[in-house]
Amino acid sequence: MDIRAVTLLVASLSLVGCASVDVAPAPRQGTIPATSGGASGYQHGGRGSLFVLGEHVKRVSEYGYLKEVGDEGALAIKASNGSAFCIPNANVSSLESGPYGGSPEDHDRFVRDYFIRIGVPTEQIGRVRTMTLLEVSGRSDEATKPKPEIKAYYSVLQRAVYGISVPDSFAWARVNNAGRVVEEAVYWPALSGEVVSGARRLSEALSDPTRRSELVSRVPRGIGDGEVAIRHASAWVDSRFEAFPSFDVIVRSQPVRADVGSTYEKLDRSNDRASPSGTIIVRHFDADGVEFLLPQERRNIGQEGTQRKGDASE
Amino acid sequence: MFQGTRQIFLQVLVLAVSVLEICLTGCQSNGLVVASVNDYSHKYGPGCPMPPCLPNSIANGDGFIKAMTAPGSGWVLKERDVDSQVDDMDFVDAYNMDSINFDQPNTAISYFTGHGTCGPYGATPAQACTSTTQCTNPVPGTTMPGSCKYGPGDNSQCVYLSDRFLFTDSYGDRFGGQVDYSGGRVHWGESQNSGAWAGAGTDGGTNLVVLDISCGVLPTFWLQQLRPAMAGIHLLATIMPVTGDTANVSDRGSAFGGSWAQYPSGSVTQAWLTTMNSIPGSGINGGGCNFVAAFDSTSPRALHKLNEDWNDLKNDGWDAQGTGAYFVRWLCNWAFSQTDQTAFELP
Repeated sequence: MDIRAVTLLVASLSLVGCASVDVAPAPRQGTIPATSGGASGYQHGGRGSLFVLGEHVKRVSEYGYLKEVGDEGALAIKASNGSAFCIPNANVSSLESGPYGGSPEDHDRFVRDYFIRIGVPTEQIGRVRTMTLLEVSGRSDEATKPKPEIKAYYSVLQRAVYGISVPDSFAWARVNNAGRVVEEAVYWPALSGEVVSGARRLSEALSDPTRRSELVSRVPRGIGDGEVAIRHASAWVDSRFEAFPSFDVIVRSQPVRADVGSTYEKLDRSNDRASPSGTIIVRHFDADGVEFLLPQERRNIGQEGTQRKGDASE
Repeated sequence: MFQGTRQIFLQVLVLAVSVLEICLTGCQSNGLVVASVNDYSHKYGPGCPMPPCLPNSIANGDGFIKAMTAPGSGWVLKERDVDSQVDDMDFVDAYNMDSINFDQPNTAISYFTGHGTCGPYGATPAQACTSTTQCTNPVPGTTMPGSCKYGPGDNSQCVYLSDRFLFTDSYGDRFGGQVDYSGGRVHWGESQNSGAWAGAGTDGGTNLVVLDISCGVLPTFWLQQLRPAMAGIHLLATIMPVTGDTANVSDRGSAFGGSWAQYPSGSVTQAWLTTMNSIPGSGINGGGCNFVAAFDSTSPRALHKLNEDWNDLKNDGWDAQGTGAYFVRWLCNWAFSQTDQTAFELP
């Protein structure tokens, strides 16, 4: 065997797994019309986006997403519902640049204007929420704590229709100090007139404090007084799009009694003091006070095709 | 003679390249272990939907599975346990415990979604403070060091170190259904690639642990609370509430797994952190952060892990070889403008 054979061997092994795929067209970018009285949506795409894919862009379809993939990142649109995600390579240099502007407010303003410019309906933008990315590093044996460093901001547009929040929709972006979008995602589906008018009616009905408190009182461990919202299938649900007017009540899921460790082997002294804390849950009720689940909350793939406990050691 | 030597050299080279190729493709973990607990009624009271039921855990874990196992994905679901199928032995480092479940060999990602705990932490009423040097009176169940915790909409107060737990609720529980992963009985990720430096043998192997729970870690004790569990994993991802608590949501898992499906060359760390941007209310009630930590023997190795893409995550050749250095990254749901050390505490 000579050097050419070695080269061929390496090349052939390296090519394992590469394949080309026929690609369906991505959904048309722009406004998604709604039925009468509804709220139009926005379909995101590459046009006008400040996200940089890099050179050698190719189109692929895989794992349920229609993608444009370049040297620096990818735009992936979920084929089933149009949710769009722009993701950079893990080590792309644009991630190393600091945040845009001199303050979180500058970043929020940039992102809000950017999304309005490319088609997100202005009147549906509620609050813009800033998220902050921090990082710290050091030696584990250092006595002094190193200072966390601000690496980036993310500005998240929160959707509202007639002042009613739509928390399952999102449009967010991270912009670096060169004014370049390094990550972004948008899911802003159209909402039907029926859903929007239903939510407005629910909101009006629950403006009556007596009715509102009566509904809240039916929910054990409810916190606060609840909120009327338009809820819809999330960006990760493949089935038919569904949306609902909802009275959302936050519940704290704390144990009713804490008899932890009373009949079991003790692991250590801390057994006597540990108990689950009150994780927060949002429960959804319709105008009649009947509880319902969102499509993403009904997800349960069951046991089919999975291994049972202990089988993996074979 | 030279001709013969050259031939031997080439044959050795071919063998070396072949071994390297086999290792690059074979020293990979692609397994998924997902443990999801909705029902805590056995130990803690009424069944679902009454508290302390977590009605979204199974939907959350299943969302992760669904996103990761699309046709052709290459990920393999090794274990999906729900409710009472999940017991505390699955997580504890002992013979026939975690190594046949949460930390079994050839696992890339081990995901738990269920209850954690936020206490004990601070005093009631709060010990007000303006500096960490004032925090010298640990509350029951905690120890020094203290920290003058500072968060959004919060008055600064003293908090103290305590172990972190996840909770199970099964007839199979042997440790009260409480898994203390700060206390030295839990080690994740030990493998033949990492070596046995953590004192846990080499019978594990997961590369990423996700703890989708209340207060998986608390400010500012990430080193003390997480380092004991590190035995070779590349990354640990969890949630760090600061003034609130984790929300039990149905989509954190699918948002995380979906990020792989969207772009396998993207960052695993960023995928976890940015789930916050796409789920209602950021997935935390109040102020809090999504959190990822990477430990290794050296700083460059720890940084490499923090920046891994989904293909790197599978590569057991990068299993951690120590905990001497760390990188931690947060995405927090409020605007920081501080440039001093007051991100989470008043020094």
